[in-house]
This record gives sequence, structure tokens and C-alpha cells, in this order.
Amino acid sequence: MRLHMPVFDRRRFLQVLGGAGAAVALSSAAGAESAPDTNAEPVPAPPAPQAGPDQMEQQTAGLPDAATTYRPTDKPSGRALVFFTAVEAAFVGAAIERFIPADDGGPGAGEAGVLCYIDRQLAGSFGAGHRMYLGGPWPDGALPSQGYQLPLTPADLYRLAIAEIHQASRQANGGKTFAELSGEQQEAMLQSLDKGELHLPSAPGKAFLDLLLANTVEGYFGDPAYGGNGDLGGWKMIGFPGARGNYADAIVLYRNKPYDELPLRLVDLQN
Amino acid sequence: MPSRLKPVDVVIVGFGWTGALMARELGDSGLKLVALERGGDRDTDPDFQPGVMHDELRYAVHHRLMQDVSRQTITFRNRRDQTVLPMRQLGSFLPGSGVGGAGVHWNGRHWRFLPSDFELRSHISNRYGAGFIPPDMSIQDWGVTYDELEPFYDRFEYLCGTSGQAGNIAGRQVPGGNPFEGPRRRGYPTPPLKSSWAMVLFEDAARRLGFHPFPQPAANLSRPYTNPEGAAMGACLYCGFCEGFGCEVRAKASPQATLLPAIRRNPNFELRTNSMVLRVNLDGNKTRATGVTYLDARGQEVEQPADLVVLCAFALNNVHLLLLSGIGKPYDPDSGQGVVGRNYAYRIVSRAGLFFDNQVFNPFMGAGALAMCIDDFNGDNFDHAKRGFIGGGTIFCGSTGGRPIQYHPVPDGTPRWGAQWKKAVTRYYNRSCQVTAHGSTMAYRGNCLDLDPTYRDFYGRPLLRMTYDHQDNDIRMSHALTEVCQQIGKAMGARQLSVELAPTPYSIVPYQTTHNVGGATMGADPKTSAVNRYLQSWDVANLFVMGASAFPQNTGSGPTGTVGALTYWAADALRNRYLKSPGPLVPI
Repeated sequence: MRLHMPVFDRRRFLQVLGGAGAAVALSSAAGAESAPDTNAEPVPAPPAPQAGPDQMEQQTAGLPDAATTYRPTDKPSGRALVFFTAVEAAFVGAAIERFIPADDGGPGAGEAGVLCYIDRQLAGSFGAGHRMYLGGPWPDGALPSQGYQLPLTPADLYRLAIAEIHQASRQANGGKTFAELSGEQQEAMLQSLDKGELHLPSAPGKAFLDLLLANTVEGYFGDPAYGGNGDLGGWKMIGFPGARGNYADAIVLYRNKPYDELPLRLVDLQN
Repeated sequence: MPSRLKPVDVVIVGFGWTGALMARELGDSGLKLVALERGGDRDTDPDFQPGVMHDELRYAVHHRLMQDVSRQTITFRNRRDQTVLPMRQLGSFLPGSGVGGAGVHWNGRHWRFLPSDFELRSHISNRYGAGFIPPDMSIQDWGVTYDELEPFYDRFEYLCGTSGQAGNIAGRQVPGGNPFEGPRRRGYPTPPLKSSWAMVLFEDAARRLGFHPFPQPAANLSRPYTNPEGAAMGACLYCGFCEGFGCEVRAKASPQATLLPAIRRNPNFELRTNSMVLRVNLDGNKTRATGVTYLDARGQEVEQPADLVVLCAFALNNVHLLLLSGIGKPYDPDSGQGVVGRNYAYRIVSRAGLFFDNQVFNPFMGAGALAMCIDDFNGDNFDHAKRGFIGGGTIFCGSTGGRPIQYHPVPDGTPRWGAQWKKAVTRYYNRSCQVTAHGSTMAYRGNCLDLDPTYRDFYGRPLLRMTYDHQDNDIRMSHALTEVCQQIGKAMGARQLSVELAPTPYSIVPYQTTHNVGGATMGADPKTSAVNRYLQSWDVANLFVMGASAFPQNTGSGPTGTVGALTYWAADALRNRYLKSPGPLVPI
């Protein structure tokens, strides 16, 4: 079933239920099953004009430096955040745009809704470490071949690492947050995380960077039901026809020829 | 106190391929059968329909058809002198869970092993001398021959409706098939699948190089088929959501598509889902199984008495249950004594990534087993004397479905992110293909399974502990095969090649393959095998252990065809001999 509910109506609906708290609960429930989130219009509708201020207020209320650091990279969809604080959203919004910048070839990660994708994932079962073995003990000296060995869920890891990167950036850059740095400075900081050269007080910077990059690619190329891949920009960029999935004749007819049918989404197959 | 149910004749632990085959084969014997499956029920309609299944994130990234490691996992180390740690996320291999098991999400690569594979130690010793086998390599013969299994290979292929081109019918070479395969009584039930463009290029290049390309045998059906069980199967849509997914049109053989309708018609059969078997119960002498204890969906312990217990879980979980139940002598790598946990082996995978300027591959069109192969470097199909290693593998170029979260190949030297990465992904998504080598790994004294002394699963049981690393013989073999991959890639006209070798030391992080084998191996000698040639426990005669846990070492071909054939073979012995006179089928 497909819900045809305009954005502003939905917000009113949630306010009736109890505002942002209800939004968190609904999204978490959807995440727990990894079900396509019916709150998300697969192709995001343009935000209703009256939704903008509400949204900003919701995201910045009570957070000290949010007004100077938050840049709403998720603007096209106008969707509320349900996991990230404004500080966290500012960092992630800037970092994912470094990973997948906008250019003539296709949308940037921000425009594609990747911030919304990651936010919802972290609010749901993925963020909570569902289907991970999280029992101790946690001895030192894990080998790379043994994989992830931290007592942190993905949500924990994001929260811890972003807070420490935030502090590291302000200390090294005269109080500037990551999002306030120049593109070159941001790139240098991400590279030093990738190389394991930026030592954070407790967070494993490299493991965090790997996770953030993987989640960015997921949001960019996953089905738009999950909040990313807005306007199917990731799929159109590379020529992936999405959930379409019937090439019984095409596999011969299109040998060494581009297949140019528009992509289909999960929701198109559910109708 | 667990509640104790009324006894049944047979309890089957795990309801994937082997459980379903066993349920069907014992189904007309009048026996009361119960199958216990840890996961939930699911069927082609509605669970595998495209509006659900064509979701890369849910199934390929979040592994929703796979074992939940928060409940059940392993601990892992490469060597015994290292600190062992739990596998906290799925990675290298993906055991299935739920009705149909891995038979739902497998690719459908449907191979027979080579005749020499079954007599490996004898064969290598005879051809190259016993000294050719390194002292720490514990390879052995299976105790069953290809010729004995041939009728059962045939049955499983006709159950699945497998698509392919025979290469050897009763000793007669057939053009276009695999010239190295053992003799088969007849051709495949359905003709080969259509070739993708990448396969066309591979076939041409391999032929020019003097190799012998043939379409991979695929349990992805090229045309509609009704199997001997009366199950109607559809033709493959080449949808590209196959490996890691369930099939929407019953074109990929699975227990659901091939067997379940017939099994469910049997009034003496009962399937209990969400039933997690904790252990096999034994009598006071530990020579007879009295049944199993499991947790039901509400977490209540239930004892199910039975006259016959058949373990049909994933290979690693079969070994785990044997160790937890105290069945068979646990293997001790120091002394080399004991059998349960011995000869755990895996597979070694490498590939050449090919990048073209002027070829368009449409990688999203495909099927799990859609590939063109050569077997020229598999098993003992080539002279190993000068090579100085044992083993080999299949080399193939396939189109299994290029879903873009996990498939966006870029040439070496491309940054990990940013504008250049984005350009490279855009340029090469549709201009790349790969030539892959799936190599064998042999069995070694130090690669083994036992119970972990520290970490426990959700149910409070010690985890299974895996000690495994790739060994020099297998790494050298893999390098040799990777060179062939590159050679074919160049002949296909690739402008640029990248090489991806198997991680050494072996790592449980990147996905490689779910072909985990051994640990409860079959054989002729109870000192070096846990089960006899009919997969019957040497120690507990009313316990049979199906699946790839019985393989004494791995081969260079996919395991499922042999897993199916061995299950039919064991079921034949059960029906025709054991049930008439319960007891050891092979004298000790």
C-alpha cells in the first residue's frame, strides 16, 4: 500500500500525536523491520513553504551552537531528523558531500537525501546493533582479520566519534567546526581519519570513517524508500534500472548496448 | 524441567536443502516425522515477490535471510597462538536461516565434483607419489566414489531442473560441455541459460587461448519445468536479484520451489518453525540418541524424543551440535587425535577486474549462476608435478546482478571518495566485468573447530571456535589461477586490469563464499572421520549428519550438488537398509 500524504499534513498529524517524539517512535518501528518507510515519498515532494521554520525550530531548539553550525543539507526533502542532533547533522551533512559531491554527473549526497537515510538507519535497528554479537569480554589486540571488535553499536560509534571530531576540529581550527572549514580543510581531516593519523581521545576514527562512507554509499544507491537516492539520482547517474528486474529478452537484445529504461522503485512493484 | 512430547520416529534438525530432501525421502515410509527449524516460515508467494525482494539494502546489506549472529555466531582466530574473538557481524560467509535455509538465497551454481575429488589422497599419491602431499595436509578419501553417487547427482539435478550442457554422457564426449566432468547418465533437464555479453567475450577469449569454455550448470532454469515431484517451476527472468535473495518465479531451485508442496501433503510430517535445537540427547551409554531438546518460539525448553535423529543444519552448526552433545571424540590438533572439528576447510577466491572503453555489459541483468566457465585448472585436470601444489578451481565470468551498493567497480588508483571516485563509478559501472577463480582449500592439521572456553551464545551455550588460515599450498594455487584470470581478461580486450587476491591471512570481514566444509567428515576409518560413508555417526548409530560438514576437504567446484547427492545417497541407505535393521551400516 502506498500512502499519499503530503508533507505538511503528515507533520500536523504527528503534532497531534505528540510532536517530534512520535516521529522518533514511528521511524524506529519502521527501522526495526527494515521495512520501507511509508513516511518517505520515494521521490521527495517539494517542501511546503510553511514547513521550513517548523523544521528549523525543531532541529535547533535547545542546542547551543546549532544556529552557527547547522546547514540544512537535507533541504529538498524537508524531512525532520530523528536521531542526529544539529551538531551531528552538520558534521554528517558536510562529510557526505565531500564523499559524493554534486556535479554535472549526478546529485551530491546531500541533495540525494543521504543525511536523512543515515539518520533513520541510526534511529532504527541498524543503529541499535540489531543482528550484531555484542557480548564481552573485549580484550586488546584484535587482529584486522577478526573484524569489528568494539562494544559500540553503530549509533554509539557515530555519537562518540562525531563529538570527538567536533572537539578536534575546534581545537585545531580556532573554534571552527568541521562544517565551517573550507573544502580543502575538510578533505584533509577526512584523509587523516582514513589513514589513522587523526587520533581521537577514545573513538576509533578509521572504523568510524569506514562506516560513514559505507552508509553514504548505501543511502546514495539504495531504494528511495529508505530516505536517500532522491529523484533516483544515484541510479540514473550510473544507468541502474532499480528494482525493475525482468531482462529475459533484454539480456540478448541489449548485448553491448546501453539499456535506457527509467528505473523502478520498490513502491512501483508493490502497486 | 523441559516439557516432554510424545515420541516420534524421526526428528530432522534444520529445514534447508538437506532437511527437506530427507523429509521427502523418508516421507512415504509411514514414519512420523518432525522437522525443527530455528527460523520462520516463508514461501515464494508472498515472501519472495519482487516488491519485497528487489531490495539490495534489506537482503544483500542487512542480511535478512541469514543467520542472526546476535543469537548464534562463532569465535575466530587464524592460529592457535592468537587471542580468539567473536565474529560480531556477518562477513566472509552467510549461513541462511528460516525454512529453505541457504537453499533460498544460494546462487544456484549446481556442480558435480570430479571423480578424482572423492579419492583425493589415493589419487594424488598414485599420480605424484605420497611424498607430494605435505606432512601437515590431512586430506583423505571420502569413502564413497563418484560412480556410486552418480545416480543421486542425477536425481538432484532433475529435482532442481538444472540448466546446463553435458560434456560427458556415459563416457561419450559432448561438444560444448565440460570435457573434464565425470560421466553422467544423461544430459541436463533444461538447456543452458542465455549468455550475457561478458560471457560471450569470455567464451571467445577462452577458446582462442586453447581452453574449454562451457556454461556453468545453473539451478536457475532456462525454461519452465515440472520436476518428478510434480512441482512446476518457472523460467528465469535474469532479474539480477538472485544471490542473496529468494526467487519470485520458482526459477531458482529451492526447497520451496521443488519439494515443499509434496512434503506438505504428507499427513505424517510436521514442520515446527522458530524451534532452536540446543542439543541431541543420548542414553546413559552415549551410544544411542534419545531425541533432541529445543527452545520453542516462547523460549520454553521442549524435549522431543525420537528413534532416529538427522542433523541437517548448516555445516558449522552441525559440528557445533555434535560438540555440545558430546557425540564423537573432539579433535585435538596437538595430538592429531579425535574427529569432531577435524578437517575444517574453506575456499580461496580471487579475481581480475576488467575495465573497458568500448564494451557495455548491463551488469544488472543476470542470474545467480549465470556464468561461462573453464574447468581446465580444476582438481587434477592439469599436471601438478611442475606446479608443486595440490588442488585447483573453476574460473568463470558471470553476470550475477550488479546491484550498485555492493557493485560499483573502479580501477586501481581511484580515490576512495570524492569527485574522481564518482566519475570513475559512473564511467565503469557499465563498462566492467570480472573473471573469478573459485579455488579449493585442502585440510590441514591446524585448521579446525572446537568449543570456545569464554564466549557464549544467546542460549548460554559455548560458541563454536574456528581456527583457520589459508596455507601456502592453497595460496600458490590461487595465485596460479589468478594469472589465468588475467590472461583471459587481456584476451577479452580489457584496457585495464585490477587483481583482487584472497585476503591473507584469511579474514572473516569481506564476503568470500559460504562454502564452509568439514568438521564432521565422512570416511572409511572411524579414527579419521566422524561419520561413515552413509553419513551415519560412528559412535551413535541412530544419528545421521547431512551436509558439507561431511566433506573431508574442499574442492574447486560449488558444494550444493554434492550436498544434495550425498543426502539422496544417505536417505537411500536409511530407507533400504537401516529402517529394516537399525544399527551400524558399516561394521566398526
